[in-house]
Amino acid sequence: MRPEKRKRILIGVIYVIAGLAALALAWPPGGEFDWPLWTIFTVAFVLLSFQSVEVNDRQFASSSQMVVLTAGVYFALSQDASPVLAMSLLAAAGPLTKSDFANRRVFLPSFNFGQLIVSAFAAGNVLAFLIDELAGGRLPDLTAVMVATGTAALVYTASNNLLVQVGARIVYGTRQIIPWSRLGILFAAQFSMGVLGGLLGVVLFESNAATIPLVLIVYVIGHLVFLSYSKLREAHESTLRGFILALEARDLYTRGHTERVAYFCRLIGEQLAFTGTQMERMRWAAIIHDMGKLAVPVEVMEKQGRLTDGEYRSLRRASHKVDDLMSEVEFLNPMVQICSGSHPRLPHENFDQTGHSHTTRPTLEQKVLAVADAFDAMTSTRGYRMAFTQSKAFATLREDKTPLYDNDVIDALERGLTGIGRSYGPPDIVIEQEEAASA
Amino acid sequence: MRDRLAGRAAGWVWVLTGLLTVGSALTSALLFLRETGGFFGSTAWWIVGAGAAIAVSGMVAIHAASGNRLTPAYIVIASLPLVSQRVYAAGDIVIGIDAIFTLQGAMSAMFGGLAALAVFRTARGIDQREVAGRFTRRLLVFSTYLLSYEYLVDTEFMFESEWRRLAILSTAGLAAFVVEGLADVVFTGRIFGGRLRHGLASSASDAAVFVSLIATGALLGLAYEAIQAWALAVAVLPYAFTAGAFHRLSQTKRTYEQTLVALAQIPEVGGHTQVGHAARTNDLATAVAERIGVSRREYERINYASFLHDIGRITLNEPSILRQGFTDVDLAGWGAEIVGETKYLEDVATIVRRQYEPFRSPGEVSNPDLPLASRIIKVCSAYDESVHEMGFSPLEALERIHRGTVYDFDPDVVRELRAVLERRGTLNHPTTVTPA
Repeated sequence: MRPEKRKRILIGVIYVIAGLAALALAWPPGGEFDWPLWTIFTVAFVLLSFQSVEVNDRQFASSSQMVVLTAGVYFALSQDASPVLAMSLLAAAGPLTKSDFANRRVFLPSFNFGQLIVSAFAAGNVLAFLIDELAGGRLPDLTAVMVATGTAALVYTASNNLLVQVGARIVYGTRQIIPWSRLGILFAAQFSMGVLGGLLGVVLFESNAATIPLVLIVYVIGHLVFLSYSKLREAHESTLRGFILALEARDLYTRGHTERVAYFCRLIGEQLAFTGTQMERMRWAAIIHDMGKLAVPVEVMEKQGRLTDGEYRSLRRASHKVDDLMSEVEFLNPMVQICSGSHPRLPHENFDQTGHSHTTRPTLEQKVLAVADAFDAMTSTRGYRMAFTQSKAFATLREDKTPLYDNDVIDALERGLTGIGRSYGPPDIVIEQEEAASA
Repeated sequence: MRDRLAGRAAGWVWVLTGLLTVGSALTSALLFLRETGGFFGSTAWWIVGAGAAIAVSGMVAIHAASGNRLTPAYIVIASLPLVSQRVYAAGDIVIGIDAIFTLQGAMSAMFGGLAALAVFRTARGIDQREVAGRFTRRLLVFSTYLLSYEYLVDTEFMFESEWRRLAILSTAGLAAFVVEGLADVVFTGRIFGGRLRHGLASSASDAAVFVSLIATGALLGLAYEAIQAWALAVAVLPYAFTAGAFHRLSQTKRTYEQTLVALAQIPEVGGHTQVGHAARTNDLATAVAERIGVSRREYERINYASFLHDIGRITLNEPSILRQGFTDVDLAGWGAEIVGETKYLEDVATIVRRQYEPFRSPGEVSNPDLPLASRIIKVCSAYDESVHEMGFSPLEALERIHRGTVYDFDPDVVRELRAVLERRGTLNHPTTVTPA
């Protein structure tokens, strides 16, 4: 058995036992425990946390946590019911996800099962204690509830983060580094969500069941809209990809080029610690960087043999025209800027007339795209030459003094490729043997 | 003559806006005085506050699917009955007593808020016609909501339970939504011909935004009973969530459309089609579709497909294809392949694939399973080619299309195209028909 697998099982078992222990500690639910309401909370929690659609920020994580605190406050205010149990049980329902079922994963859900219950247990105890201490019998004391839920939310987030980090470090040996600035934002968001969850709990307790459908309606609508948003976003990407596929389908040499460039951009971006937004922008830039090839003027097409200067220029002009078209799309504008600055310029080309900024100092993103593009071009076979080996491609890129091929970016790509243990282009050994044989 | 009429109409709109604003301000003041007993009593503050809230929230718009401007002011209006109940219940939390909702208070807040909004909009230089239109629409919708609430609270047939109020709120909301839809159709002038159906379908697509606004308002009202001012925080959260979702959706939609427009022009850059052909075909095809009165989904499909109908021509940047030769059917098939890479556009791909099929073959009355969208695009694209590529006058081009109704073109679609062109005044030289 591989040591990593053994570690996984060990950690999984420890976390599950800790979770079960927390549940046992919280056990007696109390006489007035409202099971139907608890079920509604659970459904909301599961829906919010795991039907979640990809949203850049952590909105969904926070809103599912809000449900936990709403439940906590409701049960803390109810006479003779255990808020700790309500929250821990709620968290226990959390780790079921569709993709876990699909991939038959065991470790991740059990890991999450443990850490969510322990976090909810800790937060629940803090909440119950603070509400009892601060409210002192006067119900509902809004300030007390808000202080209690805010603190409980912080405890929940902190414990959650800590447990995930410890587990990840032991199993994968990696350290999840979140910069302090982002951690601050995370805690602030969780705190305010917690306070709001608490207020909602008071509303539920004070008013009647009619509040629940209202909250649910609003969330369900928002959720559906987010779903159609992400569907549309996917459609947007796949439409652009469809065009690129049409372009690449007929050219054996460039097949898969765009996908590989996007992949190299991601590797470089990870090494250079790009933000999510930057990564996203790089991906789009990679997808559209060859769009210009879709428009080849008729006169160039019908030409046999070498292109004249004028024909070559009209080819370039058509490709710039496509860039112009793409930059009409506001969303793609920054990506087009990256693309149009990522081509090495020929000395006689004058781009100022076409309105494209001819920068001698390319931005980091332009350099990344340029390196990824050139690297893939070099390591794949073209109609006019054989593919370079990876080491030769890197050497050639480093020799080139164009400011686009920045050594830091090249290093980042090399590190990224070594990190995942892959290499592109023909293997070095074959070439060496061939060279040895010919020598 | 036309200009003079337009000028006069603009003058009338000025007067109308002014009258509406002054009138509602006066009504608001009267109701306010009647409500508060002639002086600033203890209940004055909430009316002023609610009016201010309506005015302020009226300036923000949520991006609804149809492009209509639905604002958070609906939330304030929806919460008004419940807030007023809490105010008059003075400290006690009363559940199930609905009688003390005051219509005057809510109405005066509404009139005042809308008047302030109109004044502010005019001061910002927004077109008076638009200000007057929006003012009237809001007034209709808001009063429908408040009046139906009042009516339902007073009726006996409603059951007695904690769900009673929710039932009343939803019924009032539904009434307001119907009025909103009708007002939309009337004010946007989409009542004639097939446009009525299109207009109604477009308003119905706003249901999601509307329901979430009213539900948030009801939530605000219920929460106000329990936690007063903090209720705002509770209501703002779901509101921000849905508003954010709608915003992203509409932004992405716009981006997507812009991208399709950009992509559709790539064959034009290479010189494989006339510059502007995709945009002009789209313009005609959507106008025809709107006249025929297709559903919203179908309209969207026609919109996309007409932009992308010639996209198969980007395949022509391959010399071997030019050498082999190709037919229109090949082009349509290649175009459909490219479009079909996107799962979201599968229906559009079918339309693109079948656009070159004739309307009927010899001996057939029609080709029953040929999609309407394909027929529309075939006609509009052929018309545009005749005018802009072959150089025929609009009337000559239409005549060519008419002759093509024997086999190629759907006579019904051609009739609608003629109607669109006539309405636009494109066919203004009736005597210059030359035999082709």
